[in-house]
Amino acid sequence: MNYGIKISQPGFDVKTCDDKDLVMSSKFNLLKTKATGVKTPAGAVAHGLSYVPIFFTTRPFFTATHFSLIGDDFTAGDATNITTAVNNTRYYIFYQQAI
Amino acid sequence: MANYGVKVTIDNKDISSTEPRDYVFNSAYGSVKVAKEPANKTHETIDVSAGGTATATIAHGLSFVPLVMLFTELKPGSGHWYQGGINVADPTDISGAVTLDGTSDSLTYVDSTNVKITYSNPTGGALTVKYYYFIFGDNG
Repeated sequence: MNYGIKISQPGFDVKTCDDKDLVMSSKFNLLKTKATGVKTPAGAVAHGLSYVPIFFTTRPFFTATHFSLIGDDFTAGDATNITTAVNNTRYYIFYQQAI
Repeated sequence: MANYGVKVTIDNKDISSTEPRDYVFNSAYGSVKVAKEPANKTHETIDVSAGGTATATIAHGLSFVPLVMLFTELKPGSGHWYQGGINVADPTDISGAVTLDGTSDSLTYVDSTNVKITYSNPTGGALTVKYYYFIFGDNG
């Protein structure tokens, strides 16, 4: 499409640079945040969507100031909830269907 | 949110839609932002000695614990990149691969200062491991 919005990184010409050198472009779908938070105790977080959303989670390790990287915990998602397995798991839920 | 902002729909959707999935971008909703990734968007490498471990430390420069996404070519040269910090290679890639610590106090983690990534090399030869990370300017 020949319309939209795009913003390049510093030092790149927005008219000619590669897509990878853009900060954003309306040509590509962006993850839109539905909800964020910390789940204590572990358990279900109702996301209010009608589909299984993309979600990111990060959980604390035994050393409470250390958190896992994305994908390194046992949180599961379905069309109603994401369900965390560890207390104080931080979550990010997006308006984007995963499955 | 007040009645102002920027929004762009996907093709064939009307700009008056109230369904968030109909938008490529909508300033009414937040979005994760990449705060840091390897220089020149080129993967990093780390040498791991035979039977040893090696740790990469990345100062993220943020004032909070960020979300971090990591990809590693666990078996050098395989071309297979695995996501996460406690991942296990597919059986076809286990031979000749590094591993990551997945215990309750993992050696791969993020805190309010750094991302620490520790690889173990159970093989009999030194390995040079490729990895790539995205540090998001968001903290969940």
